[in-house]
Amino acid sequence: MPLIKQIFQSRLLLWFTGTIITIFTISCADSDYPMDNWIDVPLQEMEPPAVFFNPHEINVSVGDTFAINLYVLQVDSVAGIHLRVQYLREHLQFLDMEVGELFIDAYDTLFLWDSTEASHLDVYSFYLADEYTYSSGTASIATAYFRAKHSLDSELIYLQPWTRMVTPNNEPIIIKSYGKATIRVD
Amino acid sequence: MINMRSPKTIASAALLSLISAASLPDAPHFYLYDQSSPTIAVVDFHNQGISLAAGQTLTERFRLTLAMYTPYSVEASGIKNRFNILNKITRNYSTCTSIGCAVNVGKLLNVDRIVMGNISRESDQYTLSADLISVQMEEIIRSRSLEYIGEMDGIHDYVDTLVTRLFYDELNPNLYASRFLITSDGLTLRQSTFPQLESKIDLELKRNQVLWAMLYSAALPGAGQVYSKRVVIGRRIIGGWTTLGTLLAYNYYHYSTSKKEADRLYASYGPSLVPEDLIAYRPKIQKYGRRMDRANRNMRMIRRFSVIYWMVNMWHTWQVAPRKIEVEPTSILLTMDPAINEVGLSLSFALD
Repeated sequence: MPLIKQIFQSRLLLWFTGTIITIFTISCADSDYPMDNWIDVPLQEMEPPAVFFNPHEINVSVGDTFAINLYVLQVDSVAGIHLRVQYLREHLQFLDMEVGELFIDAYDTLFLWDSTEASHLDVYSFYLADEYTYSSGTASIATAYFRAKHSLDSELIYLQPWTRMVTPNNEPIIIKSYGKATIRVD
Repeated sequence: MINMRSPKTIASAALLSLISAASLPDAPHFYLYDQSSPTIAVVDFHNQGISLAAGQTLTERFRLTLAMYTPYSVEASGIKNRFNILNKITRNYSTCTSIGCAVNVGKLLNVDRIVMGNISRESDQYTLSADLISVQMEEIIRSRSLEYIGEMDGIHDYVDTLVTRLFYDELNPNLYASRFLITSDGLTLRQSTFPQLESKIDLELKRNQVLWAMLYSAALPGAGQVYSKRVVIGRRIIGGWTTLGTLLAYNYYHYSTSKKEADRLYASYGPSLVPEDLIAYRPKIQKYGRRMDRANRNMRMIRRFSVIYWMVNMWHTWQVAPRKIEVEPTSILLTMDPAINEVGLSLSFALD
């Protein structure tokens, strides 16, 4: 009986194929998951606790209305926040403000904003805290609505040291990173 | 009709072949074996279905045939010797069913080889089997078995056949000589002198056992060793290969489950515009990515080690695969030159 036929009949070829597959062909690729979400890229460079804008880049046309969220990043045990946002009144018109989600589960929450000043916008959000009432994590404080007045680019910046956060004991939380937003107007 | 399997017939045929020529020397001078013959012992065969006395008688028959037709020096060929030696410790070594037991007996008796056998009976069907074990290597060199259907009286010839099968390569050369006939045309092979011997064993020897052992080992490391009757080491190699396969499968499982989770999370991460979700996804994706990389590194390492393991196994198989002749025989042939009407002997010696 020819050797090849004997090999087939003894199923050696099947076993041999299995062995070769096991040794030589089971190969896997290394993980390849680039963290390149355009929203996440600047967040990776920030050191928490931080404040930032989302989205951090906006492209609009003259006259368009857009919304931008004022965010805190990985804060711990915060009970009160004051954000001072600088913007150019010549380029952008402030329209309205909505409360965000950071204190959404808290009772007796106060949310105030002041846009009367020429060069900046103040946002206050806090609640009557006790030692058990506070918030943590990453969430928006407020959503601000603007309109683009001119076809000129501008930025939104958190002003230091007025932008601050406190704990339920009214102790300041050190903010380690401040984000900014770029508004591109066509 | 002459029973060709009878030892008396074998010996008679050998003697007749030798004395038929005019100038042949005496028969005993034909034994040209090395004086330091290897020693061998035979433990009582394990019996199933026959009496203890019958089993011992058949074992004695086996020893006698072994002593007559092979170059071995048979030890423990009497019950007295056996008990004299084995009474030193309180264990029953009268029969053995395991290699360890047989090896222990071999060491006690200080022999090179030991035979362990089994005779079982079911109504009129007998199964005889014997294993030749190397005491030093502690493994089976070869095994033979045969079946016999008939009365108990006829089993002795089959015991003789079992001896000739198990020790084919070491048979007394007179038996080789008895397979030749001197005719007017010269030397011819006597037909069917040992039908049981030639029918299967010749076929086995024609098969390239080295090649088949290598093929088995290539397909499954360790299988070649088992094929070569190196059962202990073969099983260990198979066990090692199985362990490598299990480790590979374990790491591949972790790799695939981590990849599945990472793919699922990344599919949500890519298009998301919500920072809270992105912050939550990112560390999980990186965690699963690290698990994937660790499992992949392990698999690469196991694969490299498997290649080395496989190559070493192939080399080992080549080393232990059975070659055709284990004991290089010294052969004696009867020769005849019809032209000058003389008969003589042709001797060949193994040089190593």
